[in-house]
Amino acid sequence: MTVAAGFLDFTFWGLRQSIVYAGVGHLQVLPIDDDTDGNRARGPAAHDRLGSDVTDAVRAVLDAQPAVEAVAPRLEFQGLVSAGPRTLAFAGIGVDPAPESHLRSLVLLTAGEWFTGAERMPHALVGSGLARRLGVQPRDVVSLITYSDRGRMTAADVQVGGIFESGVVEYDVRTVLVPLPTARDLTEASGASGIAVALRDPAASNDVIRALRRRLADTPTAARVARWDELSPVYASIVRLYQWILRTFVAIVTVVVVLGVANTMSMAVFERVAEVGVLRALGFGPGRIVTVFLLEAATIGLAGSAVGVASGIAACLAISALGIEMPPPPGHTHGYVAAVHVVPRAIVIAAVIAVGAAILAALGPSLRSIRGEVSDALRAT
Amino acid sequence: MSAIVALDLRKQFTVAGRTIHAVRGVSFALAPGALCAIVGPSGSGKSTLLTLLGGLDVPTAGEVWIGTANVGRMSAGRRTRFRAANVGFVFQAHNLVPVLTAAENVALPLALLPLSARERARRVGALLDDLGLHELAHHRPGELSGGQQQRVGLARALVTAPAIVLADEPTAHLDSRTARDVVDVMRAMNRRRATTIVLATHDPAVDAVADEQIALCDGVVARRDERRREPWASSSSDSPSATSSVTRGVASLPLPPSHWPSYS
Repeated sequence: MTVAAGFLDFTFWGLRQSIVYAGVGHLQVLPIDDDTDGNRARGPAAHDRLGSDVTDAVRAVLDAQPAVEAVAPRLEFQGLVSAGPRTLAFAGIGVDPAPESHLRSLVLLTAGEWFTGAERMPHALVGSGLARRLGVQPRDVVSLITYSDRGRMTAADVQVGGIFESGVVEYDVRTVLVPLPTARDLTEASGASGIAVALRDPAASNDVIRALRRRLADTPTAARVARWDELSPVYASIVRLYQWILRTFVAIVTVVVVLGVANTMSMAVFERVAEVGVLRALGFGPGRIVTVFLLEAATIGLAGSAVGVASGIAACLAISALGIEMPPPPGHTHGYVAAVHVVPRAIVIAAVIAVGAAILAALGPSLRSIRGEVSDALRAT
Repeated sequence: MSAIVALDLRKQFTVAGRTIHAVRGVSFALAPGALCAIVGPSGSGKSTLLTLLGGLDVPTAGEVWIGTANVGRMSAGRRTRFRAANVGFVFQAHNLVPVLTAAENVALPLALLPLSARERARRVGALLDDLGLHELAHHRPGELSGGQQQRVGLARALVTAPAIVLADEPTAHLDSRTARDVVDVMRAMNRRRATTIVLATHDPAVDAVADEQIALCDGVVARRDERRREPWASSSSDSPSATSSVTRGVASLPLPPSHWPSYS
């Protein structure tokens, strides 16, 4: 159980990291169409853009927060990308290269390089699936065509600076990253469609969110602040599913432990029927005798849990040292090397279950030991 | 007042659909301080009678009185408490707890009494010394001879200073010399402390030191021989050997309760 819980904990941790550092960040500031009271949002461009009043306010708040590691404004747009005879739909994201590289630290560049800031013509990073479908390589030039926020068709030629794999197939077949100025030229927008924030200490996220909400309450443009798990509801679903599986596993293990200890205790009681008879003859009441057996079971449970926990911790460390090659998760292109965390809470629960199951298992046999007359027990000598 | 009274005592068992009448209408009374031997062939009902007298089982019919307490009418819980306070048992097969040392076995019944750890240790130590078991206090039953084990069993029966001791074939597994030692201790205890002792036995040597003899046959009293000794009067013929190490210390045992329990 220690190992199973440790493996799941690693899986959840890995999933959180992959969500946060594949671009979501620990929290995001996003535009909203309606505020919490159901009224129309404030400001003319509130439908899908954060105004400069919001971006400035967010900057001011986050600059004062020591827990903040990176602030990455983004400008999203859609359009068509052409490379030679091929033209495909794409989802573009204008990014600030420096903070964005931190927020996308788990994104893998399979060819080319990240934005250097020294490019002579605008560069773009193209998702691996899209690059494959377009048949482009780094240094190839593609044309991006979109409609600006003002409703005009705009276009830009950009050089493919690199090809990336986020690990999520659907994302990689449609995404193009461009520097924020290029996106602003294409969209003719000055604000951002969202601001992603990475924190040095994820535990500080609630404090940062509170500070942002207080400040954003005064801005003319309505905006909301969402934590990473609100932005990826699939995480909560996966955690619920795996926790249910773990609980089922624990229930099965508990039943096995109860049956095993019950068998052991039944044998122990059977072998000591005469001994129990003597104790009863000497004046030991049923409660005391049952207590003795339950204490014995608790001792067995404690010893078993101590051995189990020690073995479990050793197994966790050994497995983590060796690593487990995992296949790619559904919808992903890369496998990963899994480890097993040592989870103190799981260790305590395992120990409590072991002792509790042992006591529970001993209850039946110990109650059977005090049935009948003392003389019957003594005859078993 | 009698120490033990059995009134038309009956006990029957059903084994594999067959009813066995182990005790069939036994009646007798024993004076306080009596040493009574229950004799009879195997299957005559001796052990069953002892279990009824000691409240280890309830009679099918009839009554068992110990002092003013009707043992057969008590609930299981009250019988348990009554045994702890008033009755000591010596078993044929010693029945020591194998994982406990001799001293721990002797101390077992004291766990039920409100005594300090020091007082418990004092009582156990004194009794082990008296019975010549001091050197063996930390030995487990498996490391003791049959005689030594029975002496430990005897010490366990005596350590709470019970008013009544019931012994089921206490010398059955012992050689004659060891058996004599054990009998001497019981006799001395009976003399010195007026403890009423009832023992079931096949051993003529044990039977010979008893004040009274009740012979059972097929669950009924076939013969009763009251030798009419004053229970705790000393006599040169049946007093313990002056040189017996296991009898010298009996005088140091705590005395039994001065009044019989008044359970009803």
